[in-house]
Amino acid sequence: MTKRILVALPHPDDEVFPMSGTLYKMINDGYIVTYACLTLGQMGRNLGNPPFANRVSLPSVREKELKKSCEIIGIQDLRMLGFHDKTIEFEPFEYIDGVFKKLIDEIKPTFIITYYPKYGIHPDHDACGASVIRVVSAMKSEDRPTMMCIAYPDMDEIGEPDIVNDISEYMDIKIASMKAHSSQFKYFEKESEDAKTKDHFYRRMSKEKFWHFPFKN
Amino acid sequence: MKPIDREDAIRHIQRFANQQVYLHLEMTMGAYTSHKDKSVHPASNFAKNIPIIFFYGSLSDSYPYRIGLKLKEGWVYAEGLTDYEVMDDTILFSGSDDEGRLIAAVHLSKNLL
Repeated sequence: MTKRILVALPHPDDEVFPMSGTLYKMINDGYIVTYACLTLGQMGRNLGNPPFANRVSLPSVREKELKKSCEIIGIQDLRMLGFHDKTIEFEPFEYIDGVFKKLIDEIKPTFIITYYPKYGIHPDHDACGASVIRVVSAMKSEDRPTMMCIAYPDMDEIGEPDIVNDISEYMDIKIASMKAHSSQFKYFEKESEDAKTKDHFYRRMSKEKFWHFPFKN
Repeated sequence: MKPIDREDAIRHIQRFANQQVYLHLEMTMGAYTSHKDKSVHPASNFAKNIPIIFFYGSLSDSYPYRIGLKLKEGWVYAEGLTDYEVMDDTILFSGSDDEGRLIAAVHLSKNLL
């Protein structure tokens, strides 16, 4: 049976920094990745530097960047779900949970990659992860996919990551997937090229960390 | 105005759903911001008495609160809310800084504000 992964994230470029090396490796190992990208990041402040997008054109610019990034990583099935940036936490639970339930029932993933609720830093990240976790919590424990959650804990509130992937050998792919998001990458470009910060940036980017989610039953 | 009681506020927001209400949405950094500090780029905005119909509204879990009102074809969003006041036909939300100055406001009313 084909092994499938559901990647559930709110913004174009969320698929890059914490995980594009891991996705590339898993796709090479034969997994089919469905990437449910909730929004087009239309409220982002970065419009390119110098700006080449505006508030109106940003969603279509980011859509193109997203498709290019998916192509580089090898993601086979991109679903743009049409939610609006910054509003995920305000969606009625029954609506957004229903969207994820339908996707999970359809693709029956072995793994789900999403944000660890409360540790995602951005409200959209937390709300996206929380919705996926509600849906998976409601499944029988033996039917649950393995959760690979991205988290940014301040201290050790959730312990050490359960999975740490060294993706050094796929760094070219990871950098290319970053650069595909050219309206957003300018932010990191200096850090990735400046002699003073380059080593640290590469070290940081070469480790991709995931946590399982501690379901109650 | 008093500190936002999240559950109570959400109940009241829902009272204004599914009917035409007038929205006042405002954010301000203050009129003297760049006078005091030339490095600050001043920005502010308000939109007053804008008729809207939203069908679902909520507040964030975390403080200072964010509000989101879902319209048929759009959204109203604000961040930084700390206080609220409820009247029969109006609900006021505002966010103030440590010195009590208004930063953000969201008002909904069944009558012109």
